Amino acid sequence: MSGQPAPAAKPPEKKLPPTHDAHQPSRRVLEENAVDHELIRSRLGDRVLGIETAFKQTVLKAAPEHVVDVLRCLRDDPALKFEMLTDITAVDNMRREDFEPARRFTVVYVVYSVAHKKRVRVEVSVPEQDPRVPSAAPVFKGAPWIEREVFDMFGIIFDGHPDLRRVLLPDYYEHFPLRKDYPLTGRGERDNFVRAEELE
Amino acid sequence: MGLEQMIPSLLGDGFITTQVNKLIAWGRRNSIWPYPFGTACCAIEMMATLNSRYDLSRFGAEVIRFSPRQSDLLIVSGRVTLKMMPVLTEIYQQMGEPKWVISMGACASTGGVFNTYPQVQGVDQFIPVDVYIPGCPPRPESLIDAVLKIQQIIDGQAERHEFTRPAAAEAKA
Ligand code: SF4
Repeated sequence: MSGQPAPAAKPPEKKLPPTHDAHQPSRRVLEENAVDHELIRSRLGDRVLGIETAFKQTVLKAAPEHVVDVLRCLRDDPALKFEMLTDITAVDNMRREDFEPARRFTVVYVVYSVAHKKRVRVEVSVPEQDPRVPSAAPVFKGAPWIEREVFDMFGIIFDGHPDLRRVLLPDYYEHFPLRKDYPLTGRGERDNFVRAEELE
Repeated sequence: MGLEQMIPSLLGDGFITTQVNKLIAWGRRNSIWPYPFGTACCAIEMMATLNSRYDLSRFGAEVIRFSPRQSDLLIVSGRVTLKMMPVLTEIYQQMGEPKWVISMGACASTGGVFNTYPQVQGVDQFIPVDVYIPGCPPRPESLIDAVLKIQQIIDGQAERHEFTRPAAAEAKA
């Protein structure tokens, strides 16, 4: 046993390819996605509770009662023109350190401006008891479908929705599986069918 | 001795001797009509098996029927969710006896990697399965092997004079 083992031979340094210009446009798009805070403040006034840019994306906070108004203004204002509703989704904040039941869920709207190539997210906090937001159906025609999915997975009620039913899970399903207190393997729904022979 | 010399003695008078069971089994074995219950990626492999390269018709099982009432082999190939399981049970019940079931792939047999709330962990919990095929996805050769195993099962049932599925008979009794 003599001393230290000989240092392994260094692998030859890999030569990285020069940065391609092809990568540049995508980076630029990310940077340009952020929206000027002042512009939004001047248009939406105090209907916006807060506004921040994180990871080059702009996030607006709004109260549930104002969210339809905010979306309509974002869509119609000629300086904003966020005409495309990309997605509606929700977040369950239950496992966060700063969790409070009054702000258990966050409903997130993602809207995109084709004209200005900008994107913003609108976030609305809803409480654990009676999670409700008004439906975005009057502003975006495609909203009801996405809202049905959010209802299906999180149990958030969209007031004024034309047809709020489950869309992915069967109608007899009782739980909202994307809530954090729902077990990953379910509560036995997948194991409780009748065997075919017993039906015969 | 050449085969051609035997043929006249076998067929000369227009008679062959066998058992009715074996004759029926011979017919069933060589004309399996599968119902493809393809819900995911395994179904692609099943389609490959039916295509000319692997050619399941060499074993008499190429007549895919999309009505359970016209078929006698249910091939469950793919994931089965809790929304799909009642449908699968109904399809199984609509198939006339005698019927056989192949559970193709890890998902149909055990749930595979999808140990989640909507995913049935093996269709054999709710319908009887005759042959399981492991793999993700199984190769077409495996499906061909499973069909050959079904043929053996048919022959074995004929030898034992079984013409309904034992499990079904027990449930009725
Ligand atoms: S076993 Fe693999 S190939 Fe087959 S359905 Fe499941 S994931 Fe797809």
